[in-house]
Amino acid sequence: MLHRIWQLAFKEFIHFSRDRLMTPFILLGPLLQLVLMAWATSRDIEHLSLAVLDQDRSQISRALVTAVTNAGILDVTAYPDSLEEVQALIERGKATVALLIPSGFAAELEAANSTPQLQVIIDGSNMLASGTVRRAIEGAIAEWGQKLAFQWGGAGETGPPIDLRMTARFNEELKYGLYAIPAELGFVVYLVTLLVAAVGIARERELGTLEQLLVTPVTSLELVIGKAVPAMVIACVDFALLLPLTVWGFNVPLRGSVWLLLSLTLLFITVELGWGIMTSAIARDQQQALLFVFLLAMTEMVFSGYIVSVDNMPPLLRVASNLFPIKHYLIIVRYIMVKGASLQHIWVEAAALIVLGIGSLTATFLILGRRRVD
Amino acid sequence: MSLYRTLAIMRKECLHIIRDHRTLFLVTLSPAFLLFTLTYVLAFDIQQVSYAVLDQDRSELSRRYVAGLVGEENVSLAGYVSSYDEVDGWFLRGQASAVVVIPPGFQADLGRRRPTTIQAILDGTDPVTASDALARVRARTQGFIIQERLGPLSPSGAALASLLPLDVRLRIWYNPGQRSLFSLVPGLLGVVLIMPTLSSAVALAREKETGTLEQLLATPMGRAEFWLGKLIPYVISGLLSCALATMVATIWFQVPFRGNGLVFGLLALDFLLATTGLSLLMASFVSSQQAAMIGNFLIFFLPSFFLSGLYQPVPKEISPSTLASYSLPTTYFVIIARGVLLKGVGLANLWPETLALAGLGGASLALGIGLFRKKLR
Repeated sequence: MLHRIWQLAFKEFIHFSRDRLMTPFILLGPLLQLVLMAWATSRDIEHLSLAVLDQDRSQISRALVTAVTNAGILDVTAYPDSLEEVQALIERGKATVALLIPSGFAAELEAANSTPQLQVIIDGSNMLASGTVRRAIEGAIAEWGQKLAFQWGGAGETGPPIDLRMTARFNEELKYGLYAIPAELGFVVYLVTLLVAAVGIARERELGTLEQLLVTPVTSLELVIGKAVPAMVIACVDFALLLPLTVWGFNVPLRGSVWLLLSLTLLFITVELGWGIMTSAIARDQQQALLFVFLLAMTEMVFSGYIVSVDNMPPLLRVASNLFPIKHYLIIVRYIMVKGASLQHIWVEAAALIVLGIGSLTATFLILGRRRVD
Repeated sequence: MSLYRTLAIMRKECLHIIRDHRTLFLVTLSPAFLLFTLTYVLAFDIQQVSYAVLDQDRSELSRRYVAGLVGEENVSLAGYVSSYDEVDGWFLRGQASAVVVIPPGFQADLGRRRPTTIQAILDGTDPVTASDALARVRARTQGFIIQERLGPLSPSGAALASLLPLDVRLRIWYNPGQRSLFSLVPGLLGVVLIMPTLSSAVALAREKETGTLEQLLATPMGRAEFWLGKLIPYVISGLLSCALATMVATIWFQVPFRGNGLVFGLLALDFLLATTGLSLLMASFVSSQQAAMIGNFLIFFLPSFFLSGLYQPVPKEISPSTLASYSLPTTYFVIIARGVLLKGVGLANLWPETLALAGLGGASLALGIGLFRKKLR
């Protein structure tokens, strides 16, 4: 039996070596992808452009602008002269946010019974940018206003009575990359596994060689394992290339146990192989298999918790998200690498992966058993 | 170049798609189906935050502060932490996104007008949720100060209140509720439209893999005829899926469509020509469907999520990753789709993106036809 599995696996590797672009695609491609994506996401969301329409032109209005730009998240890139110009800047994407200070702002602020107005206009078309901008500008204005109020007239107090201090655990500077890069690592390994696994049986069926295999003594189990081994080898090699890159190249900490991470990654790859081979067994030809993979990958992407946090989904979808292995794996990677978690914290996710793996492999055998020849 | 022969290739390609109802579904309907599923997940997205509190003061005032902190919608109190050593445990179990620490003597200090310090310890693993939690704590703390100073505790409350009023009118254009639905769906259109593109690459690779390309090479068909015959059916099916997917987004999920439908169709065509052209160009270098697929995923799929500005804005400084972002058609389409659907702008604002896509489309078409050899390797 081992001999037959080895023969099948060897045959797969010959297929890869036939296409001269295949080896760079599956080994260097993921590496290059991760470098580019990690590069892009390790830049924090800062230096977003702010347009200032200052109709007051007073010392106070200038101090306000300085206070708003102090944190480095916003840079003043334009001083428009009118509301129309502000609108044009935002429409063209030249400014993400505009601060409008009306004339008489300083005078009103100093006068006793008046409420000076400020207007902030944010381009809401990109969620992440608009959220960051909103927090930055609201926080800065409120803090500035409060400081000013206490400076001018706080009864005996020189500053705000409560000083809010922030510390962040695991990611002191709140770098976005530490969140995104482990997820990107997970996605790259995931896609390579799925793509290699999904084609195996579909190709045999498309070319008619599945029938030839079926008249040999090869059993369904041997066929599945023979197709799974090459995909697993490739996925493991890729992971072994990518992990050092994230740790040394992009300074993502690896605080937990490497062995725990490696063994759970192996488990994850096995589960995804199950999914991939199942896709391959359902599809009639390679094009279908590949399009199925695309459907699956898109759905997993959305349920993974990367784009929308799983906690924020409605209850039914939250339950559904447990069916997707990548959701559990991303938690595992993030918790082990960034939080230094041990098995006691993530055993639920590990158990979920085992259950999903058993489920998908059983389904594959059932499907293969029923429709060996189409 | 003969129109007849191009049409013959196109007909053959369409037959391939229509022949199997599953392929037909995957190429035309599934982008709309996919967008429906994805949008359904996004439609209910509400940022939720849960705090744990380390109350070292245990006074009436500190309880009032905590009540104010969690008395907001979508904010919950995960529980009380008894010491600093326990904080990490809460984060490791994923039970709270922030721990708010109230110092001993909080009530006494505030009563005697001595400054006091509140500490917010954040779980930095998810920086977006963490900074959202911090912003909420800050806003609530400021609200608390004003409330306390205005209350019976403070004799100078009225004076202070007259100093603090700043009426900040915050307007979030195009997406007032800051819903991820409106922000992501136009961009996701670009991602789901990769599907027809993908099929074109796989279709070209299939001709090579199964050897039918040799048969085609033996016919009088020219290389431009072959190339266009391959390209056009997938662009058309892409346009069809684009229309379907846009309808799903706007009719079912009420994503605004403020711009001109015709302009959007034209720009979608521009985008599809660029992606299908690049995809076919890539496929012309490989000899198996699997390699075509892996290439496609690496070139279009993953970068579309991480480099296109769909989620995280494309950084401004020039680096290899920004260059990669701007050679990716999806980057331009995300801007175009958001522009037309949300901002209601037209070609006057979107011409740089339109030109960039046309350039990518034209270059890939010229290269594809130019490099395609009508002979066997």
